[in-house]
Amino acid sequence: MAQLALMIDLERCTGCKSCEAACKQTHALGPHSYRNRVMWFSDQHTLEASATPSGALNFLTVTCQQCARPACLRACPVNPKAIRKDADSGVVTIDESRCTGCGECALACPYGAIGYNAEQHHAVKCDLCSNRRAQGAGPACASVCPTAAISFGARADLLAQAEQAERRLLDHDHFLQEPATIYLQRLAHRAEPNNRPARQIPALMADQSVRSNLNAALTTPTYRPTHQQQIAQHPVNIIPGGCNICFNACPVNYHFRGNELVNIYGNERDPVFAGRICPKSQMTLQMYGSEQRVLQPLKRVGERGKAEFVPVSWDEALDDIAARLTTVRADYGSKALAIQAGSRTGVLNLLGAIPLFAQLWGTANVASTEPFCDLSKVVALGMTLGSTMLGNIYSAADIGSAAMYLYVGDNQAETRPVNFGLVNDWRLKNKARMVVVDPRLTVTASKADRWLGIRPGTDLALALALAHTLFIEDLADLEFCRDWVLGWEVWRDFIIARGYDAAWAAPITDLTAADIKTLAREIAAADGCMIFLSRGINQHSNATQTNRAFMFVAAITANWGRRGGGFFNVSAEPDWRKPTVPAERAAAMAPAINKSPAGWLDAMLGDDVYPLKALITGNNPLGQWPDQNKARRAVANLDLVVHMDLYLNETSQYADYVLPMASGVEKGGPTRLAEDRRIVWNDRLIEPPGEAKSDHWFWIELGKRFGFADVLKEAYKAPRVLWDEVVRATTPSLRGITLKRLLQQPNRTVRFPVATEDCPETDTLYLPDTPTFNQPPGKRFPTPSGKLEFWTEQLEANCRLMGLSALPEFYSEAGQLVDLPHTSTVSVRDKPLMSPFVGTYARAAEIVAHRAGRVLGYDTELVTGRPPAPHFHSWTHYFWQAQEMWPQLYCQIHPEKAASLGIADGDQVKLETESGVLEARAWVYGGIRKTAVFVPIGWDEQQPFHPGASVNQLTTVALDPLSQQANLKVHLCRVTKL
Amino acid sequence: MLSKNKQRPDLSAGSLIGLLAFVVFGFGFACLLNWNARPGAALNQVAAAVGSLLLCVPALFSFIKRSASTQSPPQWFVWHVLASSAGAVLIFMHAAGGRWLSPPGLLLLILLLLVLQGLLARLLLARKLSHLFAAATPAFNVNTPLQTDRAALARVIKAKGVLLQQLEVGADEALFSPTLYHWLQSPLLTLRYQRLIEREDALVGARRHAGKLLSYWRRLHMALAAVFFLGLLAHSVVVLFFAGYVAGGAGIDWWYITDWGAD
Repeated sequence: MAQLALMIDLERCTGCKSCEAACKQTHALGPHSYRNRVMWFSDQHTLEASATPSGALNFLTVTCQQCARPACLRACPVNPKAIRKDADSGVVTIDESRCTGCGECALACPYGAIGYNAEQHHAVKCDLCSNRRAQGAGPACASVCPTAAISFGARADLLAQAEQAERRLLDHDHFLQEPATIYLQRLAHRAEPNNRPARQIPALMADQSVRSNLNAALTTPTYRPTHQQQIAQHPVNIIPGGCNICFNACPVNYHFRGNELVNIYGNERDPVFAGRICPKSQMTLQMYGSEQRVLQPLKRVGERGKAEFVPVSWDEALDDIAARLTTVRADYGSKALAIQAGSRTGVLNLLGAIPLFAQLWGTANVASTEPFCDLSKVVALGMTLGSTMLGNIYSAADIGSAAMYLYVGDNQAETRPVNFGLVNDWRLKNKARMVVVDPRLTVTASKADRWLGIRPGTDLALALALAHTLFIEDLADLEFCRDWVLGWEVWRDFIIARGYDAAWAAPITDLTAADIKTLAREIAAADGCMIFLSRGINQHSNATQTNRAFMFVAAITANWGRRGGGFFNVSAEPDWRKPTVPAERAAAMAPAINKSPAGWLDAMLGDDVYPLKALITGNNPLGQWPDQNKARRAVANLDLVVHMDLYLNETSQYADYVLPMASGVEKGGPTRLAEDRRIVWNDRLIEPPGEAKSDHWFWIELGKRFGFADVLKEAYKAPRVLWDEVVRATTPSLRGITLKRLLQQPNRTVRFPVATEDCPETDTLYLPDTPTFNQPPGKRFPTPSGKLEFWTEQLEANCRLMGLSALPEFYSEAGQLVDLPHTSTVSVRDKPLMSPFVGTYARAAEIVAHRAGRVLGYDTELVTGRPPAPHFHSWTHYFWQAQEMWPQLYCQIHPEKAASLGIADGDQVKLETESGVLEARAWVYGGIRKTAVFVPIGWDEQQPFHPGASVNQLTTVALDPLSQQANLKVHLCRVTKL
Repeated sequence: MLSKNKQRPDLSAGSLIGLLAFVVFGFGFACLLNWNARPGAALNQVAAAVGSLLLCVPALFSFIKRSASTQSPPQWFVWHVLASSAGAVLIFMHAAGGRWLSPPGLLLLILLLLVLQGLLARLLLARKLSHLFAAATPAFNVNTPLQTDRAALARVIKAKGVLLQQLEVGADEALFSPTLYHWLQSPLLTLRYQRLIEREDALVGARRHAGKLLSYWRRLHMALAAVFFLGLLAHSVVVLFFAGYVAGGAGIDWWYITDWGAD
């Protein structure tokens, strides 16, 4: 047998730590015990202007090097040794039954690659998954790696692959141990100057003392070696499904032994992802059976905010909730009930049980997380494309064939690691170009050819200047414009007349005019450019217009309706239609107060067109909504707060009832929306813990107490029935995705639109000369005109109603360090109007100049966003391993800014805005604008391991006039060292 | 008490804390109950004899794990902890009434230190050992190239290879380290080889990187144990064969073999 080895590609690795998650679940490793660990190196010095971003962030998977001269083996004092090296495969293994736990091997290894189980007192080390190899599989880390950064095989073969790809190997044999593990260097490594200061592992990651509260007692059975030994007698039963956490909806395999869910790996039979998954999917093992879960209904007995509860039965809780809702309805009308469902709540509720209940009850104040995620994109797509079905898919022939990838406000590497892994792989294979526009040098940017550190909230100016350059330099595809773009001349003339050129945009965006022009030329020259936008664009009060402007850039460069080019903004939606109840059963409904829960606060405080007095939420509003201090006052002012969740969190503190909910395979149903139009199905595979129930069970039971059982049927408690008879049947593009069809797929996945069960799946949409779903022949785009629509009289009239124009007049946010126009809204009580875009009461706006903010001493841009890949909003904060990976709330700050404030890496800092105060740990990082700090979302003061204040303590409520999406992204703040 | 998985016996943290409490309270009780008792009293002599025998178990563990004579070194590790804890308490009983400022008193302090060090190391340093993982990232050369003297290392490795052919013909230097057998069979050659090992370790620097506490606690433990056992041996010989010298003219009130050294 040949020497076996891992080959780890530093150019592909995004530091997501999926390999760590796979290793620990495979080998029953608890906190602090490692066979591999991914370390981050970040530049803590000022980056050179226009430097390549490569190297500002590097990631390294530390694992056993399977040395030919293993120091660990020689150091072992036991005879015969507890460590041996296989003569054939070269794999160095440890026999734990012979290890006395002296630690000599760990001390001897110069690579720091010997782990130690501090609870059971023995060494642990990577043996390239000998247990999996014995069954014909490879190491778990390589099987799940989202970016294919880890390869496994015969070392000679791997070296040949590296040579064929013209990759340079990292020379790390400083100790003449002849390490077998191969590391491929970053591509741009050779271009870096030799005198460049070393990157540092952030104190946040290196400081182990903060993880001292994590121990083996927190682990679920998968991570306990003795338990794994006990259940090993049962054969493995594998059931396919999907990860229920984020928009990737990665197809996974649930591994059962007996009735116990023991492992979650990627589904290698999925043609797109091929078994790649991120750490979150795997760590849901730590959700199932977690001791932190709410196990029975809890009723508040103390003051709001004091978290004093008593357990009650479901019947008692439901009866009392129904009685109190009846009182609210009698006093304020049915419209006084607001419902917000969360990402965990699931499609079956968002588009099934909840709309049915709301119509029967009579409230339009129903929201999901969409108003905080991508509502602006939904509105912009509705205006421009007439559909939310994005055209491109993740395949080698489509997105994989692009010549250029432009990410604007989209940190895909950390938010959808598997999809980014595909893109990164394609761009390396095809030598495609990648440019990232972001205030931070994110992980995505660290892989790009160029990073443009834009001033937050000014992406609209960039898009306008790109369009201006494309027209002025005659780079636009006028043939495509004439054939397929409605209103392009009006936009062109407006942009040119306003002088929205690169020179105009440069001081606004803080980019150079040359950079902007270069970017425009690159887009035009590329044979296919994928433009990715995401929350960095969507979570602004100018988000709809910015989305439209980038759609325009894509349109005038013919990057619509083609393979390898397109506009993308997560996620692709199937043009949802909500189920309707029979007319005679529908209650009268007043217009909703606002499409966004952020717009509900005044109504909760009694200062809107009508009051909101009750809230049922499957989310964590008191972490998620902007202006938390106001949000807490508003929620505290309600007559009834019902909180449905997996864990206790800040919202629970204010709830009258906390209800234990199920998730994922505890309740079944489709996963969240995959970003390339895929529906992935999970069956209900395990029992929920304690008395936890599925959300739709709750709505059906509550409905019974109001006589809704004839519509909100008992049968809908079965997820398969609710999907087939309600959700699927209501939305035309899903009608062909029957349960029968889903269950026939080895990956439980079907791509929409499919009209019938027999209808084949479609890959790229809107291609020329191909039929478009639900459209007559010849109609390429599903707008009234059949073209992409940017300006029509109707669009203009609708926009005017909201105080804007269908033309893209530039504005930004109020909280900026330079004077930029922004919107100012009028009170809805003074001038109630109905939004033609979202169908709720809304606030008209006007564009005004603004100079406030800095006067108060707020001299820093506060940028918010997602933390690294192992975290997703609040729920991963209850996974011990996600806490081990990234424990504390942090604040990225530029080294020059930090130095001026006397802040060192790892120091505690205080951030203040007009809205509130927050404390976080400093991460001094050269890859952020000098004028900005970054604080991630998802922390909550009630979290069990490393609680921290929600960053929304610092944000304010400012809504996009067109979509009602709130600005969560940029505010002015002040930073001080604590 | 034993957190015993299917293959590997171990003392859990709870067990170790229990043992620590046992030793500390045992020491306290021994002092309290026997503060004026004579070490040579019959019961205390029995305690000393049994305690000494128990304290041979750790020494035995050290030899056995290096001599290919056990299938389960962790089992012997557990016995060494249990036996040394129990032995120590018995020795405390024996010695509680004796003089602390004397050679046997010094041995007693070493014994106390050994027991406490061993238990605390297992309790407190285990987590630190686990934190060594991925703590040597400079070795991966991602940032600044690591400066090691590869030529010097190559020379040491070559010298090891040459010497090894005298120590054990056909052995592979890459996988070899001396065992008890080599130390008994060819002590000088083994010593020379050991010095080359230490030279290589110094050039590699892994132990230095781990810090003094982690690097040297075990070596200190073994050195103290060696001193203790030599002292115990000396004490036994003296009290058994030089009882007269120990008594210093007073009456000999313990079991002995000869009273050499009497005036």
